Amino acid sequence: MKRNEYRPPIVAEILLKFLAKHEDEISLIGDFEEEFVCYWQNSGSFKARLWYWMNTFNSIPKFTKHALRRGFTMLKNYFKIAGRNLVRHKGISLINLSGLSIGMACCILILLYLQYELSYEKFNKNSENIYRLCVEFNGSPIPVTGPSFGPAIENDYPEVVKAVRIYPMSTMAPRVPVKYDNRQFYEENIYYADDSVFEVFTFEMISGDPADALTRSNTIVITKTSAEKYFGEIDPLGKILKLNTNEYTVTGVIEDVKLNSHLKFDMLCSFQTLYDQRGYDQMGSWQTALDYYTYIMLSEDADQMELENKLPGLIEKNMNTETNSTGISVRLFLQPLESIHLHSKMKYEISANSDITYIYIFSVIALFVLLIACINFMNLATARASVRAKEVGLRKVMGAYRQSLIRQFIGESIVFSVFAIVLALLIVKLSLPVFTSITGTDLSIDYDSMPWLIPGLLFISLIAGVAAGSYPAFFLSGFQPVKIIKGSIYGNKKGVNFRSLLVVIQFSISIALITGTSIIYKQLNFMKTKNPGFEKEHVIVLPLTDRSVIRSLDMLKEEFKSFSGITEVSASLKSPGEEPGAFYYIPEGISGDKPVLMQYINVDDEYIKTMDISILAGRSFSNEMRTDAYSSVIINETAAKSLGWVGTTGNYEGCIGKTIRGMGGVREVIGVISDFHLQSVHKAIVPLFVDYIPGYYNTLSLKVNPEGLPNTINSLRKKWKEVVPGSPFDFHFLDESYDKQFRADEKLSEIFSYFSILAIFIACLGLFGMAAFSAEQRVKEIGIRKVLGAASKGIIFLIGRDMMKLILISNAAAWPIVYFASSYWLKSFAYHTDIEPQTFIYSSLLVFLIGIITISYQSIKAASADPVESLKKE
Amino acid sequence: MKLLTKTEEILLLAIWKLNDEAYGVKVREKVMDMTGKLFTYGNLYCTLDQLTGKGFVMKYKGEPTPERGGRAKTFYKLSEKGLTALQEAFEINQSVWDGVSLYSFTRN
Repeated sequence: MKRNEYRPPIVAEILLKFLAKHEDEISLIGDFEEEFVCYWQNSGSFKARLWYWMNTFNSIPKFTKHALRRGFTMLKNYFKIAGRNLVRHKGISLINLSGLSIGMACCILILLYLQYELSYEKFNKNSENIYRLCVEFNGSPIPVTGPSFGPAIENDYPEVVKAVRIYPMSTMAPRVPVKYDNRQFYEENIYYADDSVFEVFTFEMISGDPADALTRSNTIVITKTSAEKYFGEIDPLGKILKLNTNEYTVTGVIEDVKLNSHLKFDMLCSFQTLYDQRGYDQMGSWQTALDYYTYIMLSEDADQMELENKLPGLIEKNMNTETNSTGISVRLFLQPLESIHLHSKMKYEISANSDITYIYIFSVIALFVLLIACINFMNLATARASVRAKEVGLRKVMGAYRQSLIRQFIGESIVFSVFAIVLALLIVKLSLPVFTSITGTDLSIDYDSMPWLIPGLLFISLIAGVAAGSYPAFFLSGFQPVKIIKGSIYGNKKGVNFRSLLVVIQFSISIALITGTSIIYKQLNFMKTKNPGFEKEHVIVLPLTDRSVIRSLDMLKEEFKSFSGITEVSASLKSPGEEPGAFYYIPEGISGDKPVLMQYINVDDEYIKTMDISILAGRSFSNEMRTDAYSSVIINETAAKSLGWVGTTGNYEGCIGKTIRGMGGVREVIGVISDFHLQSVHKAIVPLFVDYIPGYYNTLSLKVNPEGLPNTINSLRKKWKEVVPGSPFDFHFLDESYDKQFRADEKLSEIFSYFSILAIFIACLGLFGMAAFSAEQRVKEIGIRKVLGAASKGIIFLIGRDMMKLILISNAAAWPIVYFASSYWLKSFAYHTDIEPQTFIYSSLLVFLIGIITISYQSIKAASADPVESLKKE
Repeated sequence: MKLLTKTEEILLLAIWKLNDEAYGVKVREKVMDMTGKLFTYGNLYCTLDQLTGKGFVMKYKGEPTPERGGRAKTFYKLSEKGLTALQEAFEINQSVWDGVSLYSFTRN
């Protein structure tokens, strides 16, 4: 009888093989086949196959139960052996375990951070149905609309359930003095909002009625923290808060706004107040400045695209044709609320957003750090495995199956990595406070909101464990026992090559991270030290938020000018670093359908002198020339060039006398100033329109003498109290506020440097372990060399040589990757440093040095060991 | 000494009755003859493994046969301990069932 005639289902057979205990496998399958053949002969192939499958399946439960019971005993054994190994090789085990757990902790922290970043706005119950109404204005998208857009879209389109308009008070003045009783502070985050804000967004109200809180004029809802700040123990409901000179009744207290929201506010004033202040005419107009953020909530079944396609109707209906004839194109579009934080990079964002690129960068770092740690783990396990070769040989001689050896090794390393996970969670717990303060987030390990965390970690540990255990498991267990015991497996070339490859990968990653960090630092330094084109040192900025202050501005200026410590005084609408407005202008010689977008600042006659901005042509504003105010303008170099007024000669004189038409009427160009960075060097300098409208100011800039600064400030304060007693004295230094713009980059570089330090630390742990191991293995060789007269120097070199070679190779692998990645990153800056070869060489040298220090301990120890002792061993 | 489970008892008896012929397929058939119930192979092998572990049965390899795809049979045989266990089980069964007849459980 040929076997081929009756072929059992192969998959079922494999399944059986898998189920049965190794020693019973053959007889079990034999039994199956015997009955199977019998069936086939009696009832045909189909029934026979069916029988085979049925019987395989109904055997599964029992076998599984049995295997589990057996597995548990095995696990106990793995624990015991893993424990013994841990104790016997304390040093290496410690290195291994700490490396792996730090790597895992790092990875968990980054994952937490990523989860946090991705959780933005999710606390809103309807977050998926909320959109921000944005405008594409001549092709450039902005997130702001006019005040009439919100109500119109809510009325005209049934799928829009609610619209809410938000208007940050900071649009008018960056800081507002808020007063209750004798407590007065400056507040930066106050919004006007429609009463529907509580319907659209989920802000939990502690006291007050959300439906009614913001319906009336001059009402205000405050957060819990600000309630405590102003009212302490007193119930704030019904109390009067004074913002500037306006009085607001507190009608509600809400929980503090979650940090993972792009709306960041401490107080909400009723939108009705704006109507009362500005009049219905202005608020209902479609021609006002676009300053309002409009959010709409769609009904469950509404479609974003469908609504977007209908929106041009809204423009046609309301914006008159006159606007269209100027060639300004306006298109409305919707931006999902959840995508704002990571995907929106428009001008005039309500608060600074993050960037999805950072999410990618951090994911990659997390992966790298974990990879380094796992490689370490594998590497040391592999290195140690050859020591255990004898154990393997002996086990095989005693009749151990290869399968059980594989199970033992893999099981052992899994136990080890699970232990590392426990440690990692502990490290995360301890380091979380530090991490949250660096990243400015409120992270916590919340197992309920992250059901994937524990299974994910176990999965990682399983992978790491299997990967680490696989080399000894599959490689060693396959050897002939005689060979192993004889010792001919020592110095196995294949194992060494494999380990070398791992070390190279590790160090390539470390070098890449360190070089990356130094490039980020360099760029940051470049941005900070780049001459902004104006004098930012020794300038004190005083916010002019109060109308009473502006009224007495001239007097204040005169008084301050007389101080000995103050050299220049000037007023302006905004100070550098603050987001300037931008408007469309129609310069002379340019047709009406091609307006030019220019940034707008308003200054007084002394601003250009105070800021030390150089004049290329013409003159600065003067208060003696009566025609200057309201009718003249100064433009910057870029504007002059982009308007085509300069030509190839580079002579700016030609610009003088030309006119520019804008919202405020026609202005004559009286001067051209050199370019300066009104905003950080992230952004390219754009055409600038410098206006001179006396009294339209929000800040006062004082150039001070650095000597005797405390005295100057004291006398400033005294004078301020004297002239405008009602308003608080508040100041900051221009360089500080200007440098705030680099905060996001500083954060990035800080986090980057932490993780690259960690990466190199873990890699060095691995290197240290490897050096220790290789010294231990060659202890006899070193002993004999010493007996034969080798110098310590030579032996140190002997140990270090191989390791150093690997680090050198890693350099070559890391450089191109870093080069491409960092040039991509630098492209996101309008002005950036060059990538210099020195950066690469220095960071490689650094890693090399760290590597030498790491292995020197081991090699010196090996070299100075007494050869008699080492040769006597065994 | 712990009592044998019913499954163990039946398997031991089947092996004993089969004498030199006790391997997987035959044991399963015997159990079927005796009880009218068909054990799954899972149940069979796991219980046999337990019995081997406890030392009630010993196993030895037979010659490979062609109808099994050239695979050897594993034969089972009772050990001294297994025989004693069966003896005990018999006595216990007798005393447990003493004074009970098939009709004792019928309701009138």
